[in-house]
Amino acid sequence: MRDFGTPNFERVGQSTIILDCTERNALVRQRLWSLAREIRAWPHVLEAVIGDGNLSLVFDRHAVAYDALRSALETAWSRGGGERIAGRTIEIAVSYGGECGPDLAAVAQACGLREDDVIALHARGEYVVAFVGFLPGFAYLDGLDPRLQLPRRAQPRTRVPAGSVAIAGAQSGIYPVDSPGGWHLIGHTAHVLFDPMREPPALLEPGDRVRFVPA
Amino acid sequence: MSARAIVVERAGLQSLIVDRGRFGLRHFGVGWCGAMDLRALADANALAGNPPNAAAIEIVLGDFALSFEAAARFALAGADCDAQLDGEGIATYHLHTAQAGSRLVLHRPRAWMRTVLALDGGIRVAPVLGSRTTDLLAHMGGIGGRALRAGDRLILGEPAIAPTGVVRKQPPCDFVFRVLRQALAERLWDREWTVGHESNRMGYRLRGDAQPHDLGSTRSRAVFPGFIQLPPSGEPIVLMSDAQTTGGYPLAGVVIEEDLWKLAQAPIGARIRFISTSMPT
Repeated sequence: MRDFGTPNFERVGQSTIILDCTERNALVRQRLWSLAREIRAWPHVLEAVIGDGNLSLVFDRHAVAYDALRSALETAWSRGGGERIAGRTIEIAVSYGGECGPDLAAVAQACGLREDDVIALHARGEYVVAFVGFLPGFAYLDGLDPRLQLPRRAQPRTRVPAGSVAIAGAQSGIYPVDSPGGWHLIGHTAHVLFDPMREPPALLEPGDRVRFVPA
Repeated sequence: MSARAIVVERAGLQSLIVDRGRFGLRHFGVGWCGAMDLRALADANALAGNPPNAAAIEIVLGDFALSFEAAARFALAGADCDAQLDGEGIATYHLHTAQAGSRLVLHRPRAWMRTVLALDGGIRVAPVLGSRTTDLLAHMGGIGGRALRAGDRLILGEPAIAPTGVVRKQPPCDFVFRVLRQALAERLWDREWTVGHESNRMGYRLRGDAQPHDLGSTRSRAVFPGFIQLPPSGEPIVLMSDAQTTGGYPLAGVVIEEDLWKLAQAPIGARIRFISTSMPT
């Protein structure tokens, strides 16, 4: 049996509990994802948000005592969370380079690769949504080829167009809305990552797998 | 009966349609984005006879004007902007009645930062994901997810019960903030911090006698309004209503919920202090 480690439970501020895992393997992530889904249905839980190997919940402190909620959370964690999150596989068509990916050439140069190689390596990966944050519907995608891993741009852009496909560090991501941003833009997709009129509003959720398909 | 409406004539620095916020969606990356001064929202709505979560207008530093197409009752809370209704000075934290054709003008406040204008019946815009509040990042809520502009015509809802005997007063507002400590809390105490000019609805950036740290970033985790982040410069960032949902800076502490409204009222350049507090039992 793989080690789940011993998670730390900590109260932060008045109304937040963070469950932080020392281990970060796939089983730990799976357990966090399913636990988040389970506790979102609990009474008096206002938010349950996945981070990088951790889970935070916000509770209504006027309706439930911290100690009771914490012990319920510990029990749910050791029980193994709720249903397994199977995740979906979502194909994202990407136009790489040119106006769609203004940083492609610079990324190729920084990585010592040809532009075609960057595209091939990026499109070959199978990515997993680790967590969603930063912007509405912005999914942090694990699985970027180590040959494409670069620090963020020294100078963030003040405006990155919605649909921009980007890389930074060990991750890839897609900007869901026009916003400032510091990742390297290598392509663009017409997929709508965030639509408040859709249920759920975010296209990608933790546990989903993403494949990029060159358009 | 045709709908009652108001027309924005001058929108000031930033005027937003707000309610208490959009909750339960942070795992989709959607922030709360409610009123910065939730206490002023509650007071203004109570005075106007509205439910606590009715949509109102939050105005930054006054310089705002609107005209009434129909009679309406309204109340102002938060910063006192020497408001005038048809040229007559009117008090904040009072219920007022405007007639069709009346004009309400707010001037720049001498203290504080934000004023909430609640109109009876609330602002009637379509809720998006369960809230009418404006989310500038996701471009949703309010009117097209943007700040109000001159010429915007806003429809009011049906007024509920006529309010009687509701009394609200401007609360005292020192700029001392009670903080529940986290690992780097020692770096917050015993010094004054100045509200930096880049401060906005996402976060207040503080300047002062900071100790840089080389702890870098921590693993990304959920963050919430009130959290005090310490970037490597050591200059704290206090997250506010529009805070993003995840962050990677180390935490110094959390401003207690009861005090966060005061930070929404601290203008750029204000000097503030943090003091340690413990969890009430």
